[in-house]
Formats: sequence, structure tokens, C-alpha cells
Amino acid sequence: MKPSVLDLPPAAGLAPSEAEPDWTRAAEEILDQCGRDRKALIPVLQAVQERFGWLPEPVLRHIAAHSDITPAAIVGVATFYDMFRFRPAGRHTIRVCRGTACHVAGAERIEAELRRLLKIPPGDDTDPERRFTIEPVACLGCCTLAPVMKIDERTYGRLSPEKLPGVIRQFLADEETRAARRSTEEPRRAAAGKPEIRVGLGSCCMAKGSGRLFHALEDAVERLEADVAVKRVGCVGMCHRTPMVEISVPGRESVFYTGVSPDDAAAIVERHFKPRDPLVRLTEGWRRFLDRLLNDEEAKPGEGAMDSADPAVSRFLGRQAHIATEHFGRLDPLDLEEYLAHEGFQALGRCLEKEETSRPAWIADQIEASGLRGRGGAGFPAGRKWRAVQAQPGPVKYVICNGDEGDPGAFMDRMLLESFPYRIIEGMAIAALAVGAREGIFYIRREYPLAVHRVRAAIGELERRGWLGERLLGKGPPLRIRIAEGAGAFVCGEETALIASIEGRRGTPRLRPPFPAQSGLDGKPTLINNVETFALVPWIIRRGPDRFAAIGSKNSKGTKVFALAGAVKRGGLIEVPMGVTIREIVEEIGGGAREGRWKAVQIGGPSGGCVPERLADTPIDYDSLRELGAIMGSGSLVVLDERTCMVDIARYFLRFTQDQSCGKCTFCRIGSKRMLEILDRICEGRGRSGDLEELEQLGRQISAGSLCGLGKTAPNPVLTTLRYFRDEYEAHLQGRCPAGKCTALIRYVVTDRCVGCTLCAQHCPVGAIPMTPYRKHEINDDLCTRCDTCRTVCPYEAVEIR
Amino acid sequence: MSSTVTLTIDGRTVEAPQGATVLEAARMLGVEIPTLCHFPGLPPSASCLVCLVKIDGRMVPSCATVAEEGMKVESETEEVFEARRTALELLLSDHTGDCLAPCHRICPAQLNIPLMLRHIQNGQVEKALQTLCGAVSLPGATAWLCPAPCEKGCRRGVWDAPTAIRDEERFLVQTELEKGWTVLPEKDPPLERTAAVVGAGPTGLAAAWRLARGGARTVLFHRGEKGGGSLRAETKRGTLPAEVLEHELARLRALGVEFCPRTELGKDVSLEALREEFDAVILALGPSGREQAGRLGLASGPAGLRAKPHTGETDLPGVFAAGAAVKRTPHIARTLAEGQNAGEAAIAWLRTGRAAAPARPFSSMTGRVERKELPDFLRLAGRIPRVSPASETGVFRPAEARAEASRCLHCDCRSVGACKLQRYAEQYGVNPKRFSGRQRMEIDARRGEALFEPGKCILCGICVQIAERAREELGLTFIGRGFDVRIGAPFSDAIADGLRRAARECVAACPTGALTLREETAVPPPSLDRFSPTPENRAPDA
Repeated sequence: MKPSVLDLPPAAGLAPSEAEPDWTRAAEEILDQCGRDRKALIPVLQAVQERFGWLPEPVLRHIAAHSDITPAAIVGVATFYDMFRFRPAGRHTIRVCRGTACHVAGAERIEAELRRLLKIPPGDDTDPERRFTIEPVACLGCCTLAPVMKIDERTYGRLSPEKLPGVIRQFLADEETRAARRSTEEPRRAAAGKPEIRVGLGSCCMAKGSGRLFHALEDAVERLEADVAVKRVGCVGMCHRTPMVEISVPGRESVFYTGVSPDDAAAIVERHFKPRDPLVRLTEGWRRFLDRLLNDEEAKPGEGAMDSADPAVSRFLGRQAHIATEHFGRLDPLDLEEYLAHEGFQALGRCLEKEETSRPAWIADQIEASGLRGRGGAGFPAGRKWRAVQAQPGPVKYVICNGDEGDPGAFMDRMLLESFPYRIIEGMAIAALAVGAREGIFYIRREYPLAVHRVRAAIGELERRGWLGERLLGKGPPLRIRIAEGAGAFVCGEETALIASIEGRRGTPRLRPPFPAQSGLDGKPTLINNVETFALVPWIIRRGPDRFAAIGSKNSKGTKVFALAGAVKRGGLIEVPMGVTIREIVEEIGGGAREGRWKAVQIGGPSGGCVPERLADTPIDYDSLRELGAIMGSGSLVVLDERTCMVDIARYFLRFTQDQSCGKCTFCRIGSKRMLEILDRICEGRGRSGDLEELEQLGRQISAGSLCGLGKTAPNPVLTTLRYFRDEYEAHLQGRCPAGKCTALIRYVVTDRCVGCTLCAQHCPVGAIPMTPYRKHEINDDLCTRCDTCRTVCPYEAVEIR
Repeated sequence: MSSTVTLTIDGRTVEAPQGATVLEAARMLGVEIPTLCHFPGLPPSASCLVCLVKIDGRMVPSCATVAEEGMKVESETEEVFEARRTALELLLSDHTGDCLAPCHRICPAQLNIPLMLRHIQNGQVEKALQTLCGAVSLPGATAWLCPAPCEKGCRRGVWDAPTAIRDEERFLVQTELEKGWTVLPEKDPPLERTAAVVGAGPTGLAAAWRLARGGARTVLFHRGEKGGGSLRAETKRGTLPAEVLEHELARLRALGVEFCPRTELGKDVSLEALREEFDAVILALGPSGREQAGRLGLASGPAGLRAKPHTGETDLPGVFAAGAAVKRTPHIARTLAEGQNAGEAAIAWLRTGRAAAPARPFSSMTGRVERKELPDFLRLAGRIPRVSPASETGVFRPAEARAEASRCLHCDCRSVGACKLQRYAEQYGVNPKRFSGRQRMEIDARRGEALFEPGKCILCGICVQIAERAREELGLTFIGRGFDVRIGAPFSDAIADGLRRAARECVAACPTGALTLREETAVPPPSLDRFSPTPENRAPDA
């Protein structure tokens, strides 16, 4: 056995003698802050978790004894949501992304290796010394960096098992020397007509270092005394080239730099905005000269430069149409003045100009005429939904913005919330006017802290101006908007589960009808739409429904935002007209497969399906996708190539939904588990005859019998792969995995190309390759964990999968 | 707005009150729809989904779907049955716990052994005898001669040693003798039909017992003087006390079996004559039956007289054969079961003109239980080593019998017959092997009135709601999410802490055997002071 790869210093600051916290006082403070009402339960638990990192029982008992919250409710709710812990966590949290792109890129190996490395016992999530807690997350939204993990606030991408020891060491070293973190979220105001350096600061851009780049640019501007503002903007869409910088000078065409590192900041600033003071220029020149001498490398500011004439960029952008993402990459998400300068709140203003009595009908007419369908997945006509709520009697109604986007591989809603908070609020306000609601609620995943922060900041700004609260926009009816944060349960994206969650209950769906439009939050008529749906509304009102309806296909109007990722050259967030074909997206926008051929596209995440390349000329709209067995879903689009095992991908998605099932109804709770067991068996080479037929039969029955959409669509990934890639299933039954992915069915062998360089032996984490210099290496199959390291490190391509 | 709605269910029209559910409307029509999570007076949970019906091409739970004007509901269709069956199969695949204890299932005569042991433990010898004599035709014979296959299946054996079931039987039979009782099984009303049994060996006696119990006038023809066949030989060998055999013959006479001694088939009476005289004939000719087959005009099979398995039907209508005449039987319990089964098939034939094999109740099967799963169950059992009869007669004294009976783990289900899951499983002909799954077998018997077996819980949540309605201090809740959800009391590992007031109500409402009353299990084990537990069979905690 090799020596321990990672000899960690003993944990400091975890002295066992720490005095027991004052539970009672903490509980009282939290109750005072969050309320003692039953409905305050989730915020109360979130506050407890925030404070202690877990839920200590004495605090919970105190809460039960001193509020309207029952012990049964506390335990039922706390054990339902993923974010709550019942044991203290480690000092650092490692979030390993389990998103689709990461899965395809080997996230499982990363997780397994981390557990081995950090000596985390099986069945546990924290090492015995409580230094690190491993927390798998559905998606970190950095799909183009896959596989990715995040240690505390730091993101590490393009990982491989052999890189991990270095990453952990680097993290611990950085921890010690870490300077105080700087916020990118200070309020700023754009100065019109001034040159700008725009940096995309969505959380996925941040994950790739845009935050540090932003500060480096600010520093450089300050040092060089350049007359230019460094500006935070929302998502730029081109994830494959971030961090990205746009140099915008009024009257001139913008210049873009992509893949910029903080080290390039000074060179960029200097190139475009020469320092005014010659002395500064001189010293800067000297400094850079010395730097070059010391570092023996040349700063190359021109290398990443591109402009929209760049063919790759123009093809990426060419097919797109930006409605939900209008002005993408240009607006400071939190600058209300700037939003106003870009036609912000004009749509809402126009609605308020209408006569109060005819206003609701007029708005609903516009939405109905536009043909807008809900962007949350199922595509229910928005106009009909709005009218249904409108038609309900009673003075109390609610509007809810569903921002509980949880699909692995989907981060459209997060991007919209982070980049265009005002636009979504405007859309919601228009909906509230249409249905007669005076309260709006954003339900946002807690995993999206930046989105929560920006929406909260935007609401705060509007309240300060008196545009939200007593009088909408200062002149309309009252409208209050608040945020409810999710607590980690994918099923809460289902509207009845979402309502249960806002009401402080376990997020289990219930049978519809009654629909939320009739009986929603607190039993009152409630309009629930997805983030993207609301983001489209202002444009529709402003430009008119006909303009919107002119885009798209017969039954699916307008545009759709997709997260394009996987084995594609250019990944990112794109907004395309409905009716564009899968092939156009993958090959034109995405530039085709990164290497080799692509064989399928997974659309719609765990509720969707895999569409084979031969059907790629299908136009994307709600109906055509449903015919293929997939669904639009919330819009993740992962390109799969020949190295992806379709059985494995089906199992991956089913494992996700099975894990996220609320556990209420029989078909989903037990049925999805049994299906998963069959898939596990197949992937492990223990498949039996009749398994495929049972998968199909049970899958259809789960679809028919489950109570809610999660269960009804859970079998889709399995059913579509069975439909289009049955040969791969059959190969597994015969003991072969054609893609070489299922570890039980493959082995690693060294071919005659081996020169005995020992690189594989050095890197093998389990010592399965004896050190035999200048002789052909052998892999001990019993020890081999199929971590793929040897194959990746071999410079002679002498390791093969059989 | 009209106060009723009219809808059709399977093409039949029904007028239901406004707001009624489809389930309620179906019940008005007498259409039976299974339900597990539905409980009158509580809001629908719609979680078990065994009440699915098809409306407008969609499967929906009828318990939560409000009937609407003009609705067309499909309920009694193969497609709907299929969906309900799958729901039941899924629930059963996640069901850990047996309907029938392994001893009960193994017993060829299907004796409910745990029930019998509970009666003994509770000091109710007569009830125990009734249980025994209701299932076994010659309890005296099994008490002395049975190799006790039941004890091989006994789960107590996984912990230390199986419960001494045969010794308990012997104790019961001996008590009956001593008290001068003759305990008879319950008899069906007279059938106005007649049956003849040929042969008074154990098979013939067992068949006659079953026929007489079933209400047929039963005449038993046998060659010898007193009857008993091979059992006579056992008395001579000393393995079966002679008075026990006499007692068994007396029991049969008391049951109404008419013995016709010194009558040999083919010599004193012909098969034709018997068929003429009687509506059914059971041949229990013993090992000599094979040679007689040709003479009687009956076909032979590989091992003896040819008879259909399970029913014992021969080629001649109304003529049945069983026991050693057909094939060798391994032991007395098997032999009795063959005779009883032939008797039962003949009763069915007499009643309906079709011989039917005895129906076995549906039983969920958990299979092997690990030693580490047993400590929970040991809370309900006496923590003493296996008791052997101290007296040289080889028969338990009452205190010994009670002590030994207390060693039963009660791994059977107390809700057999009342359990809706079991009933529907039988009704829908589920295939319990379609899906497999196995949770840890456990029982929460820590304290309180109610026992809770999570493996049998279908998560209907009825108890959660009842506890909430009863304003329990802690109450019950769902714990966890997804496949691993379970019911429990908050901040506690004992269900009893959440059910201080509502335990009985919850037990009564539980659709399966997940919640049962402790008192239904057995009185607490009797004082066992004089049995000193050895370290290896002591239960982990009190």
C-alpha cells in the first residue's frame, strides 16, 4: 500500500471542552426573530441551522414548548428537507456536484476518491476529526467545468481523482493565508455615457473566478487611475468562455476578452485605458518588466480577445433571440436606474394606465394572445391559468414565483433571478394586477444564495422608492412581495408541494384538482408561474402579444432558455426561438461534439428523456418533445457522446428522482426504487431476462399511477433510453457495457504500447499497478477501482478499457 | 346548483350528493374499490393508490376525486385491476413481516401455533385445545409421533433454541385426557350428503374427520376390529400411548363418524356398491393400495394409485384416494394433511360438484431472519432457555408449559384476517415475487399499549392524523423523505411516547398489522424465577 496521500495536520479549534451553548437563549432569540406561528417553522429551522450548523435537540424542544409549532411538525419537516442536519458538520463543507454534466465526466469517481482520501467512513458524511463534510448537490451550475466541487466558497473544476490531494492541500494552505473576502455585491450606480469594463457576475461566472477578476480589474483601474468604471453585469451566457470581460466605450464597438484570469486584469485595463499620469505609466511599465523577469512569462492580453465578428461567437449568438434575457451581459442586475433606462417597468406602467375595472381582463387578453405557455416544464397555457385565478371570488389571492429549480444541469432560473431581478418582479406585479393578488412570494432554492440576495436587494430598493407595498409603482393597488427560501427538496418545484413548503409543512404534493388556482396557499386562489414565464411577461406587454406570437412554432410561442452542456464545444445559457431543431442547437450554437460523434441529447433533466441523434431534426417545442417521450422540462440540454452509457444515464436520472421522491405515494416511493434496483442490477452485470420488459411495464404504471408530476415523469429517462437505445441494455444483459462506463462490466488492461514509464503506477491511488520500470505494466484487477486515473495519465495511450 | 351529481361507473348510473367522492359514489352502487389510506372522517391522503379508477383516460385515486356531473368512471376493468394489483405488489415488496409465522406455514395441517402458544401462556388450556383440535385431525398422534418440522422453522431457534412446540401439544393432549374432555372442532351445518372412507389408518381417519366436520354423513369401512391402522403398531412399539389412540378414535365417533369394522374392500363390499350408496368415496388403503388399483379398476401412477395432487381425485368421478396408497408420506403430520386435504376436496365436490384443493391464505413471506433482528422481538418473549419436561412421563406440567410457551417470539401477525393488505392481496391475486425487497425486521415493543412494526407500515398516515386530532402531546409524524420515510414519535425512539391517549384508536384504524395491541400478543411472561437465564440466551436489555 502507498503511504497516505494526505497527511492532514490535526484539527485545530475543535476543542472538545468548548462550553455548551446556551440553547434556551438561542431558541428564544430565533423565535423572536422568526415568529412563533406554525407557518414560521421552516424559517425557524433555517435560523437554527444557520446558527449552529445543525439542529440541536434541546433547541428544537424549546421551540416546541414555546411556540405554536408541534414536536411532530418540527421533526416531520426537519427530516424532510436536505439542508437540515442532526449532527454537527465538519469545519469545511465539500459540495460535490452530481449534475448531469459532472456525472458524465466522472463525478462518482471524484466522490469516491474524496471519501477515501479524507477517511470518511462509509455511511457517514464527515471524517472522524470533523474537518470536512461531504455534501453531494444536485447541481452547482458550472456544467462547462465538469466535474466540479466546491469547498466552502471556493469552486474547483475539471477535477480528476489524481488532482484531489493537491486541491485539498491548496485549499488548506489558502485558508491560512486568506485575506478578508471582498464583496461584489456593493450597490453601484452606472454613469451614463462613460466607458465601462463589464464583468459577468452570475454565480457560475463567479465559480470560475469572475469575482476575483472583478476585484483585480478594480484594483488595476485604481492603480492606473484610468477613467473607466468596472461594472458588475448579469449572466453573459457563454459559460464555455468565462470569465469574460467586455470593454464598452460609447460610440465604439465592444471588445470582448474571454477566459480571462485576474493576472490579465492590469494588461487589459492598460491596453484600453492608458493611464493619464505619465509617472503612473512609467512605474507600471517597470513593475511589469520586473514581474516578467521574476515569473519568466509574458502577459498576453490579446490572446483571449474576441469580438462579435468571431465566427464561433456569431454562431453561438446567431440563432439566439433574447427576450427573457433581454440586454443580457449589459445590465447591472441591481441598478434600478439602468433597468428603467432600458424600458424597465414600462410594461407595468402601461398596465396601470388601464382602467381598473378592465385592467385584469386586458392583461389576461394580452397573455392569452401571446400564446405564452408556462416555462416550468409542462407548458400549461399561461393565459388560461391567469384567467382561472382571476375568475375566483374572494379578496385574498396570491402570486407565487416558482424559483425552486432543482434539475441537475438546469440553472436558467437562477441566472434570470441573478441577472434580471427587476424584470421578474415586474412580470410578477403584472400577474398580480391581472389576478387581483396583493401579495407575491418568491420561492427560491436556498442553494441559490446570490439569487436570493439580489432579489431581496431589488425588493428592498423598490420598497424604499414606495413602488412596492402600499401602492404599486407609487400609484397602483397595494402589492407586497416577500421571499420564501426552500430548504432542499426537489419535489417542492411541484406546485402543491411548494405551497405546502411555504405553509411550513413537509413538501408533499397532493392530488389536483383542486388546482392552486382554486385552492392554493392557505386555501386561497393562487397563481404559480415559473421564473422564466414571469421574465417574458414585460416584453410581451411592451411589444405586444403579436410580436411574441410571431416567434416560435404553431403551438409553442416565443423563446426558451436552455442550459447547454455536456460533450459539446460551446456550452452555456442560450435563449432560442421555439421550433429551432435540436441539431441547430447542438451543431450550430454548440459547435457539435467536443470530440468524436454525439449520439443523443438529454432534454428536460430527470423528467425528460434522451433523444437520439437520428431524431435531432425535430423542432423543439412542447408537443414534439412529448411525442419523442421527452419533455421540455425546465430546459437543461446535455449533449451525450459515444462514451456515455445510456443505461448508466437512465440510472443516473432515476437515482436522482428516486432520491428526491417525497415518499408519499406507492408508485413513486416504492416503484421508482424497484426500477432503480433493476437498473443497478443491469449495470452491475446481474441483469435477468425479463428485466427490460419489467422496466417498461412498471415504468408505464408509475407514469400512470403516481400522484404528482415528479412520479409521473420519473420513468421518462428509462423509457426513452429503452426505446432508442435498447441495444445498449441488451449488451449489458450479455455482460458488456459498450461505452465502457459501468465499472462492474469493464476492466483496465495495459497494451503493448506501454514503455514502462511508471506514470500509471505512480498515480494509481490504490496501488493496483506494481512499479516495474522499463517493463510493461500490469494492473491487478482485484485491487483496481476503475478510477480511470491510469488511462488519463498514460502518455502513450497504452491503457485500454475492455 | 343542483345538490346531486349524476355519473356513471362501469356504465351504471349513480346519483351522488354534491361533493361526494368517486369512491363514495361507487360504494353507493355496491362497486367495491379497495382502500388502505382512506379513513372516514379524515381528509384523504391519496397515498396508497390502491383505489385507482380510470376517468377520462387517466388513473386517479377515487378516494380524493370529487364526483362531477357526467363523469365516466371505469373501475371493474382489467386495466384498473392491473394498476391496483401493481400498487399492492409494490406495497408487499416493501412489507417485512409474515402474515403467518413460519411454524404455522410449515405445519402440514396449518395449525396456528403462535395462537395456540399464546393461549397456553395465558393459562387458557381449553382455548389452546380448541385451536389445536380445529386444525389437526388426530392431535394425539402428532403430539407423540410428529417430527415437528415446525420447530425447524421457529425463529426463536435463530437466537437460542426453537420453542418446544410438540411438547406443548403433548401437554395439551395429556391435559385433555386427564380432565376427561373430548374437544371437537367446529362443525359445518349438515350437508345432506354421504361419504364413505375406506381404511382406518391415519389417512382414513383424517379424511373421515374432515368429511364429518364438513357436515357429510361419514362411514368409515375398515378391515380390522378397532381401527387405527399403522398407529396400532406405534402403540405396540410404545411410541404412542394406547389410551391416546383410543381417545382419538373416540373423538372421531363423537364427531359423528360411523365406524364399519371387519369390512374389506373388494371382498366384503365392492367399490361399485360404495359409489352407488355414497355420494363420495375416499380410498385410504395404505401401502397395499398399489396392488389393489388394478383390481379396483383404477389406474396406477409411478408411486401408487393415480390421484391428482392436492385434491386426490382418481379417474372415477367422486372417488378420491390419499395417503400411502398414492405415495409414501414422510411423517404423520404429512399423512394427516393428505387425508384432511382429500376430505376437504371431497366436501367441495359434494357441495359444488367440483373438487377444489384447500385454499391457503395469502401470506407475505419474509424469509430468513438475522440474529441481530431478534432482540426487539425478545422483549415480547420469556428470556429463558428451552424448557424440557421434568417429569419422567415426558409431559410438561402446566407451569412448564406456560413458561415454554412464553418463549414464542410472536413473529406471526396479529392482524391476520383483519389486515386489508392481506385481504386485497388475495382478492387481486398478487404475485408477491414480482418485486423483491427486504427491510430490517423490527418491532417497537419498548413500552405502552401499542406495538409497532415499521416493516408492516404502508405510511398511510392515519395514525399521524388521529394522534393529532387527539391532541397528543408528542404525537406521531412522518420521519425522513422518500423511500426511507417512516412513522415515529418525535424526539423519541418509542412509538408509545407519541400515543399516550390514542393508541387504541390508532390500532383499530391501522389498515395492516403495523400497529397492534400488546395485550393481543400475550400476558407478560409468567414468573420465571426458577429458570435462570444463561448469558448467551439473555435478551440484551429489559
